[in-house]
Amino acid sequence: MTETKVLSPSPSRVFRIALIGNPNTGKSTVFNALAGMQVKTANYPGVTIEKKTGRYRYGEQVIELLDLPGTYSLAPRAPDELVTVDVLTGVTSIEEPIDGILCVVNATLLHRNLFLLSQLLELGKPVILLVNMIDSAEARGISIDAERLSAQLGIPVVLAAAAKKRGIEEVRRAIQAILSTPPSRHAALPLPPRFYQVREQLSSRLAAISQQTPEAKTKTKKNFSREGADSPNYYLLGRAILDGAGLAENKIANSWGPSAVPLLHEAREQLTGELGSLIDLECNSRYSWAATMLQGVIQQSAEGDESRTEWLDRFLTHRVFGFLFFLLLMFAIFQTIYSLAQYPMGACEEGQQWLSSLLEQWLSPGILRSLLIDGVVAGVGSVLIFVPQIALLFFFIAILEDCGYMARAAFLVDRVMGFFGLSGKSFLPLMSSFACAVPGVMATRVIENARDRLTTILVAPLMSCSARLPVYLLMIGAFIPATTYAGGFLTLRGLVLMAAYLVGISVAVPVAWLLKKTFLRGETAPFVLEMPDYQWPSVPVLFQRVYQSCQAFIVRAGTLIFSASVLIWAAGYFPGDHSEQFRLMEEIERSEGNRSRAEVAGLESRLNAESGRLLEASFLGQGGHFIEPIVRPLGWDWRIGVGAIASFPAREVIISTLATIYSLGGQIDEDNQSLVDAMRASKWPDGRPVFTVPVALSIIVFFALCAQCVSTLLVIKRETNSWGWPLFSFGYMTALAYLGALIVYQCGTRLPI
Amino acid sequence: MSELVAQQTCTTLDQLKAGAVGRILQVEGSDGVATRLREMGFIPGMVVRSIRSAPLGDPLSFLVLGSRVALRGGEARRIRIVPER
Repeated sequence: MTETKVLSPSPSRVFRIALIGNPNTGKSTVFNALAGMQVKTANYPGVTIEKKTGRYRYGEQVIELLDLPGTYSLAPRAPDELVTVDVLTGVTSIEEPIDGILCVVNATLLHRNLFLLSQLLELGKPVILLVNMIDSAEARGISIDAERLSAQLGIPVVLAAAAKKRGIEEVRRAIQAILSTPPSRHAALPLPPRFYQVREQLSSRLAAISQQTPEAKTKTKKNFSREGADSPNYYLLGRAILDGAGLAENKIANSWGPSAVPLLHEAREQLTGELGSLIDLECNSRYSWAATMLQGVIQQSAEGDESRTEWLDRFLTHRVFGFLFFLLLMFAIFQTIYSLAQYPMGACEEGQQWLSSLLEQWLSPGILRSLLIDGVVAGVGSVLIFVPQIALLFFFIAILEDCGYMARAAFLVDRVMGFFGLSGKSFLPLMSSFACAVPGVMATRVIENARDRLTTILVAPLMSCSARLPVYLLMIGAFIPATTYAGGFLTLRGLVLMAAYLVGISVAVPVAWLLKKTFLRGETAPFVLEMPDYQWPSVPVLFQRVYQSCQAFIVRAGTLIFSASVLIWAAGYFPGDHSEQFRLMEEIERSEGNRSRAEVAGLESRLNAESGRLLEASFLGQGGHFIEPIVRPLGWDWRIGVGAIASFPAREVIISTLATIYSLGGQIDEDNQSLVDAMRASKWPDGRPVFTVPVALSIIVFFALCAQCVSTLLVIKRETNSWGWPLFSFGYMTALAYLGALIVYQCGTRLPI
Repeated sequence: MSELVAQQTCTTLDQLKAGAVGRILQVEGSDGVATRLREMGFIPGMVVRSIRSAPLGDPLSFLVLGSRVALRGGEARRIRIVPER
């Protein structure tokens, strides 16, 4: 896409408008009302914030909307926040320059919201103010004089209620108007004049050094093009003065070279000397500017009685009832996800089986059939199986967030999560990880502090997900005696199952604490959380969010999960000679109905033995033998070793892998007694049984702690935008799993039970 | 005289009882948290009402500039106020 600098509307050029506002201003609803469902999402390189764009047509003109993350201020303190500033000031290579800014504010919180507007007005781009949720303001007897506000601010002001599609046409018109005739001047400068003087002086001194050093000059041109007095880059320079040592200062140093830094410090000290603390100066000036701008704008007709929100909060954030309601709600949500997701998941599995049998009919046994059934169909199935849970969880998260309850939930559990070194916002992602870590990791997007979010992502896979349950059930059913206590009320098996779940939680606490003390150490994340008014969620926005999270998972994580499945298939298939296996398969298929059952059973057991032999000879089986010395201290033989390796892509695979190794064929589940029998009968060469209670427990602990899920690791990759963190998760969890299993087995064999 | 009164009654935001109102004197510090607090409207002269505390006594919720904001005790302690009335 080639952009020209011409600022006249022409159908050939796409105009770009950035959408920005405080959190809880209904920005997504505005975005949705303007651009409809045509939304594209991507990640900015190197950071975790999502880039969301949408388009609409106004007459002949195509307008592209760029949704920026909700923020209270344009003072960047984290790399993620710097992206927003970079996009708005146009000093970045990651985004085409924007033509205008649409600032969305909440009509009931105008004063607070104008703080951000005062910063936007300094950027030198055309700005439109969209006063959203005007219906809520009206319901409380607040009326806003848009014309007066517009005159005082010097920019177009539109009153809207995006959820009711009110004012959307006016916004479109206002956008078109500023694009066709860019405003000649914009609003007053909110900070004291002295600040702008000092900034101007600094700017000319910097320009002087860039002239002296040709190297700096070219650098300046590339990174920091200056376009005149209203150039947006003045904003960054101002930020560098106001923010003290930080991201803006680094950026100035990068653009002008190290000699710029002393000049910057000098300007900062001069201003501090004259006007006092610069943070106080900035915030106080902006708020008093906002108060001036709002003079005569807001009319409160009657003192409204206690609002609906305060009334609901009395109950929902009550010390006792609020907490009980929260627990009940979480229980209800997870029960619903668990029970509702089973139907589409069952359908997904059935579809997979149907497709496999169809392929079996079409294709004769061979490498292509094996690739398609065991690699492709199984791979696609392993991706799709997560979609129902993701869709349901995100549906509930979207409701909770959009109606305003999520902030209350974080408020209620913050203290409890503090024991983990985490904040209240980590609760829901961790809770959902008990169903499945994939949606759990995706749900961490609600945590805006990067370190808290990363800690939550890294411990989420320790929560015992539903895929671990079959493994626990198999081991417990086979090797833990059915002892009962307290008159049959407590069973030993039930207690072991509970302990298996507790292993993950009790390890997560110190891991989270350690991470916060080491790799993710830093300033305590501020818990400054706005609790918005309760409101009905917008249905189109709800569905869009659900659709987007499913799409993001399928397209970006799904392709990787699929490739990984095919790779594991190849490792289990090659390098063996499969002709005997295929011959047996063909014979069984041809003989259906015209041979005795005993004959077929004989062929099947030969096929199973052959499949087992091939797996042992495959790269995967060789790997199992190779690691046998390593897994011996855990009490495992090579078969369990192969099972553990084969189940690194997905832990539930261990059951079918063990079954295959024990020459039973792939179709076996945790209730199949013959696998249990085969495991019980399994012996070391010296005749001792392989499986004992300590071995079963060491397997349970290993599976409870190990990162045996490619899907989770790839979702971590996607959400952290790096390969480092999934590798770290994999490394620390595997190490912990090995250590845990080792301790359990070694202690278990030594204790006299 | 008025300064003396202010000094005697001056306290921090976390000490404000649920339902009570105070006027902000100052936010201490210039780090990220202190800046965020100022950006959210905790600036000198602003009136704050304490709403309630969470089940374990922390965090606390406040009404400032018409919006409900939850803070932990540690953050609220950095905001010096004079109780009103």
